Amino acid sequence: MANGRTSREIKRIRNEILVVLKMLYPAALQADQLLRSLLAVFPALEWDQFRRDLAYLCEKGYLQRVVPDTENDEKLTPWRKRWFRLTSSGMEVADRCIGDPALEE
Amino acid sequence: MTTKASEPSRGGLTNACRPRKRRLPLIKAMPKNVLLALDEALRALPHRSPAAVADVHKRFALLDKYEVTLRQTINHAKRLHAHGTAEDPPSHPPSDRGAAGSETVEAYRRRMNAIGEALSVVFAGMETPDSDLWGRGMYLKLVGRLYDVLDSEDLTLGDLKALSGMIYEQRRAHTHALEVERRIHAAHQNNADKGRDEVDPPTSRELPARLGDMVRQIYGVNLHEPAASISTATVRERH
Repeated sequence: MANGRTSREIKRIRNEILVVLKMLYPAALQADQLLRSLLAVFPALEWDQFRRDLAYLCEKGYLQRVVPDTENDEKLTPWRKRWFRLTSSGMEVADRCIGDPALEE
Repeated sequence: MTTKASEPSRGGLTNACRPRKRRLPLIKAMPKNVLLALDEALRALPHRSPAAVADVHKRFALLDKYEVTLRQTINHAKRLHAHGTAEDPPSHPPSDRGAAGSETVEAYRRRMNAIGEALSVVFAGMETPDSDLWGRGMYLKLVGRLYDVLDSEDLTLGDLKALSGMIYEQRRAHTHALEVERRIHAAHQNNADKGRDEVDPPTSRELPARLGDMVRQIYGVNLHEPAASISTATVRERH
C-alpha cells in the first residue's frame, strides 16, 4: 500500500499508461492529456499519484521525456506540460515481450 | 438524374429525399493532401470492421455531391467505433477487473487504439520513430491537438479548419526546411570540390623567405640584382 493505493491499483495504472503510449507510439503525449484520458478509466486518479507513476516509469527507462525545441529551460517546464513517449524497453513491456514483476498483476 | 432544389416537387421526389445543393466552402478550401490525410485517418478509425470502412468510404465519396460534411463523417466513424466494431482480440494485457470495469477498460483501449492509428496514419506514415521531427514544438503541439480533437465527444468545423491549416503549414514548412538544407549541403559540396581543383590565390599563400622567390611569385619574373650588390654580399659572407 502506498499513499492509500493498493499495489494492484498502482500496477494497473502504470500498465495503462504504458498501453496508451504504446498505441500512440512514436508520438508523445503531454502529461496533462494523458491524465485526462486516464480519468475515463480511473476516475479517482489524482495528479500527484499520476506524476509519481510517470517519474517511476521514466526512471525505469520505460518512458522518455521529449523536450521540444521551443522549451528554453526544460527544468522550468511544469510537469503537466511535459511530453512523454514510450522507449523501446517500454514498448517491450507494454507488448508483454519481456516481463517486469513490478508491473505484472 | 437529380431534380433541382428550386424546382417544385413533381410527385416522385419529395423535399426530404432530394439532395440539397449546399456545399461546404471549407471542404473546397482545404488542401488536397490534408483532405487525403484526414481521409486516411478516418479510414483507420473503424478499420476493424470492413462494413464500417466501406460505409465511411461511401460517405467520403459523397462529399462532393451531397451535404454530407466532414464533421458528420468523422462523428459517424467515431460513433461506429464507440459501438464496438472491434473483431480482433486486443494484443495488450487483458484487464482483470469486474465485468463492467473490464468493458470500460476495453472500450477505452479501443478508443486509444483508434486515435493511435489515426495519428500514425497522419504522421508516422511519413516520419520514422527516431525522426527529430517528433521533438519539434510545432509537431508536438499538432499531435496534442489532434489527440484532443479525436478524443473529444464532438468535432466542430472550426476545429477541423484549424487542424487542417496546422497540418498543411507544418508539412509545407518542413518540406521547405528540408529543401533549404539540401541546397545548403549541395552548395557546400560544390565549394569543397572547386576548392580542391583551383589554385589558391596568391594572397592566401605565405610569403617566401627569399626575395627572389617573392618577386617571382608576385611579378612572375626573376629578380636580376645589380652585380655590385652581389659582390658586396659575397664579401660580407666571406668576412
